Amino acid sequence: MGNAFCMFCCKCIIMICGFISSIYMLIDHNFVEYAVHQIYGATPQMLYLRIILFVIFIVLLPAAIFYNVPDIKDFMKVSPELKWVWWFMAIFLLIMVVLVSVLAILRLSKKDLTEFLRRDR
Amino acid sequence: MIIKVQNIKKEYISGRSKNLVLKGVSFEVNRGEKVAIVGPSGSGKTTLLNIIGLLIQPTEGEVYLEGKNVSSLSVKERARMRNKFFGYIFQEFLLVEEDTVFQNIEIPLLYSPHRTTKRKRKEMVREVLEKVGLEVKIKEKVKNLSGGERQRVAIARAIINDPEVILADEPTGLLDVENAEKVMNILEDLVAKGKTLLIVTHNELIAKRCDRIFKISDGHITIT
Repeated sequence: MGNAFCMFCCKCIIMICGFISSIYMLIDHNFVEYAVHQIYGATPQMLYLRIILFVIFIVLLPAAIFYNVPDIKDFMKVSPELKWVWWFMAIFLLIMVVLVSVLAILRLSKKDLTEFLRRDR
Repeated sequence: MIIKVQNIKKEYISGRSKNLVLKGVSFEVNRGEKVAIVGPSGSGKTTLLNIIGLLIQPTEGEVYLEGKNVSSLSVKERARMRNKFFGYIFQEFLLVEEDTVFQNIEIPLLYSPHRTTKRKRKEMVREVLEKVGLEVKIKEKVKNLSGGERQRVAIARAIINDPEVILADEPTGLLDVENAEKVMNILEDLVAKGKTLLIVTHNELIAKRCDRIFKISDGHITIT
């Protein structure tokens, strides 16, 4: 049980790291788009909201699909003692959304429009 | 007078070194005027244009648009002002390569205080594309366009919100003579319709086509 839990934690950490690095790459790749939106009237807050919604969508969509797989739903119905697993998953996903969103917003806020617009940069 | 710039200073700090690019620049621009900003590379032309366009903050000094001091506006108010008052054109086009011409041009409309439906936005995009002669390219991805076409898409994006002032930073810098001429003609048409144009350029011929030339050198400006 101890080893299984350890393995599970390692998997979670690797998954979060992978997710964060993918989001970083996405922000770097799309920075021109963010800059153009900012130039033409978007506030930084609007862009942050866009990132948060994207992260929520990416995290919650697979979770929702997973939850709606008939076998899993049925299994949970006959095993009410495993309810804590769902609570654990829900809290884990929430923490992941918050962590990834905050890191992504920090990444974007460090990318300065002033520097981006300087041609002698 | 549509733009008034008063004693603008801009300092860039990189690590321990400080670089004072603009050392107290002042001038006024009238509505419907065509002004060229010239000067050597790194002299602060783009910086000045970006300060006027509310894209960056000056270290010191004031910018007035239609008589209103905009130096102390909040982030939100600056964003709103950028959306309705300015159209920006960049040398490197700054288009979203993976998106279509329509998606690129509709960006300013997404942040306009007047909400528009997608159908209305399409209509408006078609209208501006006709003005720049690219109506058939509306569904084309930007990455498939030539340099001249890209710059015309950038102009269409700049004018879709019917801004008062067009800020063009080396708009013909990456274009051949024929495309540069097309771009200049479109910009001059806009000025003829009452828009104000501020254009940063290295090209003397383009500068000579303007009403006034602002020459930046060593952080100061000379008006001819």
